[in-house]
Amino acid sequence: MKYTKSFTLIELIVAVGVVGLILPSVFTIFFAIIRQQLVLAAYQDMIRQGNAVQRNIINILQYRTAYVTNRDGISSEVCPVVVGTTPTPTYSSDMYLKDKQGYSIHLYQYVPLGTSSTIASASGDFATPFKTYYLSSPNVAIEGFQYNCYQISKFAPVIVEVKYTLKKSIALRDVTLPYEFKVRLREN
Amino acid sequence: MSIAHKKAFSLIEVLIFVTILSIFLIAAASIVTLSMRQNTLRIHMLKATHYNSQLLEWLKGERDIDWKSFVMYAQNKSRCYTADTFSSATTVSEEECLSGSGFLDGLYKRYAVFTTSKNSEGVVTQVAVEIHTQWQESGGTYTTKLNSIFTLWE
Repeated sequence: MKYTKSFTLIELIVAVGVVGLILPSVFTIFFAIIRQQLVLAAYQDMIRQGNAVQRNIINILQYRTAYVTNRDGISSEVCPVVVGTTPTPTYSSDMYLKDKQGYSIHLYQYVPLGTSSTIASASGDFATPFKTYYLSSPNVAIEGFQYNCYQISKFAPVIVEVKYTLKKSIALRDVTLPYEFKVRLREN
Repeated sequence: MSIAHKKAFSLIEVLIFVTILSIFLIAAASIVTLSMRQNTLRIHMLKATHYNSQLLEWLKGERDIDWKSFVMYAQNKSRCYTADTFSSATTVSEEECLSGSGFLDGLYKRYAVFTTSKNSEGVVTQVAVEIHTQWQESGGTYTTKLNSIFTLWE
């Protein structure tokens, strides 16, 4: 009777056991590194998009906006005169603006169908149909868009405070980045 | 009847193999640990840089609103911005800010040091600001800095 050389059952069990111990550790480390890379890329993307949105809003407010108005286009009493200590600001999420020619701009938080929340800018007047575009791309969500405006005297320029948070989901966890800035209108 | 000798590895061979494997595994583990630590550091640095630039943008807004008020604001020399909103910044020295209990985003200490410069008539015409965001991780202290100068004529 001829015996063929082969592994014994004990040898196989030991080998499978060792591989079974090492593989989960290797995969855990591998996925942790991949996750970190994704988080890093997410932050880079959020900073790029958040800064672009911030620049866009500052440009609209600083160089185009003459008045902050209500929904009906009336500017009086929308931005209160604040003297002395600043009261607790009242934030609103719908920003209605007008330039010197009466052209309207509406900035608001919007969730386009099937994508992430963003800030939408709709602009136009009676002669021109309103055009809407989104300030960020769908791979980043913008949440908590709020603004507050005031004047330090009746004839002083309007000051607008803006807040929003960028959010992205990476490996079942959310990463967020807050934005907060203040702009003085130069055209009013 | 002859005794059959089974072929097997000698102790020396096994020791050499285990040593080489250990060196390889230790090197791999070190590289992985270092890489993960560097990635975390890069994420924290990216956020710290963002927090610096956000404060600078806020200060630009303050300067635009009213130069005199901004100069009054900057006269306090040092302010701590560890709260969620800029308006709730505290006027403390940088040491007090660093030793305080508040953390921005649970990790960072952010403060700004203001230095005002007067012209020959004694009027403040320039405010230099140095923004620091400091945090601690892996036994080390890291800081990102941002310097800027605000002037009356901008």
